[in-house]
Amino acid sequence: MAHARTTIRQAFVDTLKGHTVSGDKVFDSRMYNIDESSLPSIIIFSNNEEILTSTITVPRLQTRTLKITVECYGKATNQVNKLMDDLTVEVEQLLYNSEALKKLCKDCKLESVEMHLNSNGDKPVALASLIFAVLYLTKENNPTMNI
Amino acid sequence: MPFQEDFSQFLDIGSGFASEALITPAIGDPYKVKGIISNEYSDIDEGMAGVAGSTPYFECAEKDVAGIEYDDFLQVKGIDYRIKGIKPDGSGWMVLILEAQE
Repeated sequence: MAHARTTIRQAFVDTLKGHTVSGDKVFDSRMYNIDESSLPSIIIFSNNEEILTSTITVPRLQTRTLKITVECYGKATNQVNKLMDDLTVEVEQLLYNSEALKKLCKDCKLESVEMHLNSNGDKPVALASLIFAVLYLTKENNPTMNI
Repeated sequence: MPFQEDFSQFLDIGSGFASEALITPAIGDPYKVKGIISNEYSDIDEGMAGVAGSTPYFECAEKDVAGIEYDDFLQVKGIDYRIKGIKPDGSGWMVLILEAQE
């Protein structure tokens, strides 16, 4: 079985895929660059997780705070920042209302948004990075199962 | 006396290097200029993945674009660009940094 972290990250992908202006261009942990025909697009990463043990007796209960980064990429000559703002509206609303995420985790909240604009190429590129803190529980002997 | 290169061989359309571009300034009439268009691949380093892009620029004689301004438009080989960088090299040669228009 997959780690609970994988299941949560996949739930992010499934929630966003086909429901924003990015269409089906939503990727799980894509590491290679994106060509123009694939923009706008979204990539989901899970980069960091903090774990606190909440019980003494083994197997201990683990309270995990997973940081999920939703990277939204866009490229446009006109108002690329507006394109990103519109895309983040869709992302925030979809994730807040996701029934799948509500079943998988105790809490999921948006912690920060960072915007980057880059004019080095043939058209301006914008990146919006939304960082979500996802709280979920596991037992230390079975990290595949959310409690 | 400053060194001045003769660019006529570089800007000979018949030999295949140069193309004719139409520059449309914000004020004044459009005019034609000979130059070399380049559009090489480049990685745009943003985020964990990055974006594939290109860096279009147009090279020509500085004297042919004496009144050029930022945000003037340039059309070459059927593609419209906005001028977002003006880089004279001091020898009479000019590099115009371009942004593709949709």
